[in-house]
Amino acid sequence: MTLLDVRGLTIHYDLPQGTVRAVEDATFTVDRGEVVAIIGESGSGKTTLAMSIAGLLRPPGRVVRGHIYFEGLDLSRLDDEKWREIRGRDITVVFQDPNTYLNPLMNVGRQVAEVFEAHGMGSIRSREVAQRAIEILRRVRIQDPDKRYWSYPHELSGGMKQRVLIAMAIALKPKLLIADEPTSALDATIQAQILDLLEELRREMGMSLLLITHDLGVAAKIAHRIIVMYAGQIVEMGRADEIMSDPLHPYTRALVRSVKLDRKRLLGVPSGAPPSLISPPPGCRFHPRCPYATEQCTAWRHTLYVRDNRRVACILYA
Amino acid sequence: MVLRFLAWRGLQMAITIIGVILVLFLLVRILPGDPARLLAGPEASQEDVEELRRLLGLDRPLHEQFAAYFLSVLSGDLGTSYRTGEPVIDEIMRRLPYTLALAVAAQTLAIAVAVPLGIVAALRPRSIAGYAASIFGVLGSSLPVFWTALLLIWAFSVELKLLPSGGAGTPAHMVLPTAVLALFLMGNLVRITRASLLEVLGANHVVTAHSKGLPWNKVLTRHVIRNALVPIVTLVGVQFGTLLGGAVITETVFGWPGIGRLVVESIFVRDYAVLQGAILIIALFFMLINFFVDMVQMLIDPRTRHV
Repeated sequence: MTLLDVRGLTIHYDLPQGTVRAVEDATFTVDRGEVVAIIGESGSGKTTLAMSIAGLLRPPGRVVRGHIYFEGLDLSRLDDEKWREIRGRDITVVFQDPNTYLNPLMNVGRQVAEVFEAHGMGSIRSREVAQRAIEILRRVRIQDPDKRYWSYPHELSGGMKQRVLIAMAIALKPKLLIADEPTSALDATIQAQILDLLEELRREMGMSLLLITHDLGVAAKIAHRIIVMYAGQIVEMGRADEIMSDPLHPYTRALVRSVKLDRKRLLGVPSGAPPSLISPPPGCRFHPRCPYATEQCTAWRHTLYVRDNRRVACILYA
Repeated sequence: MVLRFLAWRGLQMAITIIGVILVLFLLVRILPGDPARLLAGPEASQEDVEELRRLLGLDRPLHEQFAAYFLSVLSGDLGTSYRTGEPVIDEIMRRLPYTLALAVAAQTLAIAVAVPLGIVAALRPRSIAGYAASIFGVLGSSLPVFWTALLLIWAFSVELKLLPSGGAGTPAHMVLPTAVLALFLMGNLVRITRASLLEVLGANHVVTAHSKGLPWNKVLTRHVIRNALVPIVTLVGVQFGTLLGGAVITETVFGWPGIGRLVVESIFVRDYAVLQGAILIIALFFMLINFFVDMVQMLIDPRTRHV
């Protein structure tokens, strides 16, 4: 059963230096209860994609083409007031850096309580709302939640703050939780705890999880399906186990190999940054770094070829 | 914890005030000119001047003068004016209400106009308020006070004959000096408000607030304006402290009998006692305001609550 259906989504940032083609023609679905990981380097457009699904795309970013269907409702055509009702209740986000995504001047309990207030369940000053916030803090395994309720962000560790952000995101049992690099600002041991917590909450609540990460290892651990993005385009998607055992796209192959050998750098491709999205290379955007590139690649138009359960955007599979 | 903070700040203030008294005492003695000669007048004989110097205690060694002064300050006696023979404290108390009234009025007006203007300018940079904020920001801090004062006197007193050009006594007398000072304060205040708000608007925790589905007005009041208040409060503290020190130029142009003019007059006649007393009171006010600003800061930002 499809929960989220993204079709041909194209997002541009209009900057004085030119138009940044952050996301081009993204098409994919997320089923109910499914964990889908979008993986890519920084600048691959994965965060822009996630923010547009959460209704948090900020100018100069704008959806140029395409649709985001959520339970059949087209989010890309929604007005602010409707969006406000969906955000925080049906679609929620856990952000990357717990240190900056919490308000330093407000105690964490009230920041959680605000979610209830925003969706008409009483003022943050009311006892019932505070009690619910405390229950949610307990749910994300914060010790002494009734004491921690009054703590300010600077009094908590990074892992604790990330739990507070998760508490906000699960408070109203959302249908879709978007986690944008939820562990990359944390220590390795805390990373595993947070991932386990997310996976456990997802299973209990039956929600879908869209995990945005640059870390294929993290994605392989909990995702059912993986979407690989490069320079604003989806280059491969399929079941997580199949992608890990048999990556098709040259970029995915390099990613999988470096994860298996536990290397930080991409293996088998020339090092270098992903291309500028203001003037991307013609044809396949990966061809300047691709070991298999031929003349044809510069004239190729981005297409996802179907191969068994897999979609792959490479001329080798045409 | 609050008690520990208060005790610590009390000690700090006591040390500061001793330092202020000492520096003031020395500074005033370094100034060129001889108060005994000035007071006695150019006609007086050398004997008369020496006699006067002895009477005023100015012939005694410096450390004795300081000890005597320090002890009398502690007992609330700021000395006697060389010029009028009156207690300094009386003179200051006569002037203080004028300075206070002008400072409170100008600061209130400046906040009432500049803060909302700065907020709107940050939210809608291309609106009328946005442009007004830019104009206030530039004019307020770049037009010299004496010039705007003269301009307003020319317009409202000379041409329109609506308001008195100087002096004190009726509320009408306050209008022009208040306007001049407020305009000056607004320049910085508008700019700080707008800059602070823009910074907070771009902060990540504001995205979190939106992601909860919080209505925009609540995002604005709870997560933007409150956070943007910290630098604004600091600036207002500094501005108000400066005003209490007497807006020397404004008070002079408008003949306003405040502390600022008292200081200037005392300098001209080398009235050490009044000068010392007035500056001491100004320093005291400054410390109290700083203390108050710190308290407000602690109220807003929990991160500053650890001493």
